[in-house]
Amino acid sequence: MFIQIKNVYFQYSKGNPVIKGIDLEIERGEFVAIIGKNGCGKSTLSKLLNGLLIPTSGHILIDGLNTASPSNLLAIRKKASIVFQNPITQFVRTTVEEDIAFGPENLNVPTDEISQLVNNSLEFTSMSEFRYREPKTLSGGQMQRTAIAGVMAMEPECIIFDEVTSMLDQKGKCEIFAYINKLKKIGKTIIYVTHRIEEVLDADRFVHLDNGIIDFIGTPTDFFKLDDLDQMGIEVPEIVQLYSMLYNEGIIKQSLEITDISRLEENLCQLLSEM
Amino acid sequence: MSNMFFSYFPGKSLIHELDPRTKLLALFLFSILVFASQTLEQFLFVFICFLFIAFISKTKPRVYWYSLKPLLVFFLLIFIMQLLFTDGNEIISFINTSITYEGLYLGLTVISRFVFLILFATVLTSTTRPSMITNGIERILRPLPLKYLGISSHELATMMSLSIRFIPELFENAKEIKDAQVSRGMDPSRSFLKSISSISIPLVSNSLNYVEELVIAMENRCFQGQERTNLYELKMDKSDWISLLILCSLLISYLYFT
Ligand SMILES: Nc1ncnc2c1ncn2[C@@H]1O[C@H](COP(=O)(O)OP(=O)(O)OP(=O)(O)O)[C@@H](O)[C@H]1O
Ligand SMILES: [Mg+2]
Repeated sequence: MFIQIKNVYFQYSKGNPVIKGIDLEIERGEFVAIIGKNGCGKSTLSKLLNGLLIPTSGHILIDGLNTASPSNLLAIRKKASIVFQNPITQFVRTTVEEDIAFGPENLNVPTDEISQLVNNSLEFTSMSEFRYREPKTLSGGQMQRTAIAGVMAMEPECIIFDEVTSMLDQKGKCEIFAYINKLKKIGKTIIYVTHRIEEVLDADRFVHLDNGIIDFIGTPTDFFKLDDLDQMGIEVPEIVQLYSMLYNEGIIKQSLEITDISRLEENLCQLLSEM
Repeated sequence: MSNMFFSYFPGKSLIHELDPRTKLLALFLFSILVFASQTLEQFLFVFICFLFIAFISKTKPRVYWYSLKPLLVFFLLIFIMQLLFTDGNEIISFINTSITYEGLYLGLTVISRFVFLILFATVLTSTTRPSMITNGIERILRPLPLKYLGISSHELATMMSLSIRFIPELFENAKEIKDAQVSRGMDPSRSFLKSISSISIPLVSNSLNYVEELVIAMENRCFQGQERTNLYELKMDKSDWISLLILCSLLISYLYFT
């Protein structure tokens, strides 16, 4: 198991636990979506995953390394790295290429290997033409692509995305999704944190977080079969709502996989026309 | 426009290609030259040196203007101070102050020195990436026993590059806050002190959030504050040594003969 979270509690200040006993295991190559309302502890959980925060009790193992041991931290952050929400504050250097080089520089990678890593990451995120640009001349989407490239340059096995599209416009969002899909294809483990479910219908698993506790782990299809989604405060995409209604009323008998809005639309149309 | 102040302008010239350490040392040597100058001929010599370097750096004249312009008021103030508060032979006198030849001379000298310093510094900043300047400073400082001060040259370099990256960001933020407050009815011309507090308090709180996110983002990318490698390795070429040799001999002969 690549990531093991065992009975983890975490509090920022005494008496106010934010994470209240979480167990979760994630395998190599999985695409896991962590969903939940604002303030339920999603960002806290992602920071716990690579030792930016340390559990108050319980433990987290990344590829067998305990995040609580300071001597493991570099190795852990090289294995699992986060792309954050704010494009501006995670752009720490003055140009795109230097920002991408920041991680490998800290890891003391020799100069010629750094430029190789930077070139590969620039190419992967199609940022080569912006190589010498300063952050203020980039769009939000391009800055987030730089952030992805900066993380890629450390060659992590797992990338955690924490609401990376919430400060972007529609175009920026599409750009980022394209590169996340690409990362999935080359076999990276992806943990995608969001409160917008429609962004992650193609995830292997949903992990629903409510007030510091996991109250659902399973496939998206199973998730939409839950009957208390309304009480959980989940905004279900309309087409999924329609499908659930037809299914629950017995109008449609087949159970459809919910992994892709347009696929679902197609399948639903076909079923209805056959009736 | 204000962000053109001491900016880097990519280009291809002998000066662009030099190692940043050479350029930093050259700036240091030219500063000595500038401060040792007093007479008109000496300043003329400095000016010729500057013209020569500016010519090979292929930097556009307006770039120097961008650097000088924001400082003009400051120059004027210094000039007036020197003019009014230096004793000597009177040119004209007012009620209780007088303008003297010595004041005029001192004022002009001080301003010329400042202007030349800015001009030489602009040659450095306009031909060298900010990160290369910090790299250069880091390499120059590395042999110093900084660890007795509890700091490493790498930490200093990181601090410098973060300032270059984030100080303009803070200015931008201050402007946004001001606009937001003005749109809520703040009138800076009416109560200056109140405006200052209604801008600075959110600015401080924003900056703290900024720093917190920044530190987390840096740790996420394995920052440790210790020895780190660099995307660009600095290398002193033949042209670097030759440039330094020429400069040093120029300076020595200048100081010797004047
Ligand atoms: N640095 C901090 N110090 C103290 N409390 C914090 C800190 N960061 C977060 N919290 C608190 O912890 C709780 C969970 O915050 P967290 O940022 O993990 O939520 P989130 O699910 O990521 O929310 P969002 O969707 O808004 O990003 C919140 O109540 C928040 O106020
Ligand atoms: Mg969050």
